Amino acid sequence: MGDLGAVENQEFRTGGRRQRGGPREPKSYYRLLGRDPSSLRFAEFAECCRSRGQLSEAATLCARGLMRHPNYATGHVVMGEIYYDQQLPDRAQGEWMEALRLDPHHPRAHFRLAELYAERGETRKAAAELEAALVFNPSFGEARALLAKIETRSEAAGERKVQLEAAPQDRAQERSAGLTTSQFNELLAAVQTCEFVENALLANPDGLMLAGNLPTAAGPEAGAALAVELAREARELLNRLGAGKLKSVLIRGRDGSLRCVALPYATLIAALKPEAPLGGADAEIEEAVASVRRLAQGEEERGGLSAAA
Amino acid sequence: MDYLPPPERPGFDEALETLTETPGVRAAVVAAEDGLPIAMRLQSDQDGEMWAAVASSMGRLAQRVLKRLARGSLEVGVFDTDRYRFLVCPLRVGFLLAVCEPQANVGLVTLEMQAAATALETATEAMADGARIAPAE
Repeated sequence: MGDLGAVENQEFRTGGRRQRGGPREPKSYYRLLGRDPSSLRFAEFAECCRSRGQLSEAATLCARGLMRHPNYATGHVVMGEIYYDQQLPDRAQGEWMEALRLDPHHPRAHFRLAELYAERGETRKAAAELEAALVFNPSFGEARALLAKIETRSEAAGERKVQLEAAPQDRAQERSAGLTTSQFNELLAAVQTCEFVENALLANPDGLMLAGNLPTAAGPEAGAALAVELAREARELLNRLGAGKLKSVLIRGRDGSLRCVALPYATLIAALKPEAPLGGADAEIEEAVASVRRLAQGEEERGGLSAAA
Repeated sequence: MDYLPPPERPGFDEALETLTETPGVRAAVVAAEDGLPIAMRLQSDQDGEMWAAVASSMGRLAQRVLKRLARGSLEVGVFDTDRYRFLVCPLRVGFLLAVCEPQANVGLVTLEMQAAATALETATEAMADGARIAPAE
């Protein structure tokens, strides 16, 4: 299914709508795609072209990539951004909604929809999308800034403060996760106390590291991207099959095991030592996840994200 | 429990039958690397082709992850959802998948899968030997 080790450049992932220099020269992507036409990095390449104003080329690249990888949510996000730049907002909206159908946790897709809704004056819908983006990526500065702008504008117009849409039960719980880096570090510290755990990390839904470390051949940052891709691919596969909601993945290799837990707001992956029993770190991981949920509930009780009337 | 009649694969049938008799196991499928079904033991309302595709996708995903993290070859993968527990292990011909209830005993099913995998590899070798020594027409 492509290059799991690829790490999307942070600028690419959180880049604004305005054009800026792409992460790499296009010719390096042509070489890359020439070597591996099925690479998932078509999206990064298309983004590079889009940022240079080469919209036609970006659209062609992205469309070709999506023909090979129709379930790649980030590819649909990039396609939507291309359509938007081509003054096709309805098509852009369709792509971003498809991205969320494939991956309901995709912060950038939520953010792009929020921008579109805000432009149309649909502030409630925009605010709901921004709240969702911030649940899954609390450090998403652009989303936070836009939400503040929307709320300020609403107050200035004498309107009621933005009412958040009623969320489904699980999203209401997820919303409470306005956790800090130190809290993520505490979660990981609890996991790493287990004698069988070699490394562990937490990644946000964009594949960026929140805390911890997981060395890979492609470097430590690739570990975060890998954890998220594992959870995403498994989730997408199970969604297509109607096989239920992914809870966790355990993979035992000859030289060590991995435990991956899909949390609403992050992905936890723990690499176990070769001598570890298969269930070696289960108790520590379950306790760590429970403790984070307790922390998150504490945030909710302190009035984290509820909107005032 | 009703089962669909399995295809004629000497040795495969017995291995899968034993595996599906393990408590919590609802179905067992042998799939090729590309997701095509080779042998299966299912309940009558289950889609064997779908489970074969699942086996291949999960097995290949697990193998890629282990390769990236330099954890050696795949021994077994366990994928938990709120409806099922899937266990997948590699075979020479592809992958073996056990579709289980969510609370199935992973340790027990893993042991039975290892036994089934050994039996399936033996059956595969026997078939390959039979093909090699078959007299030419």
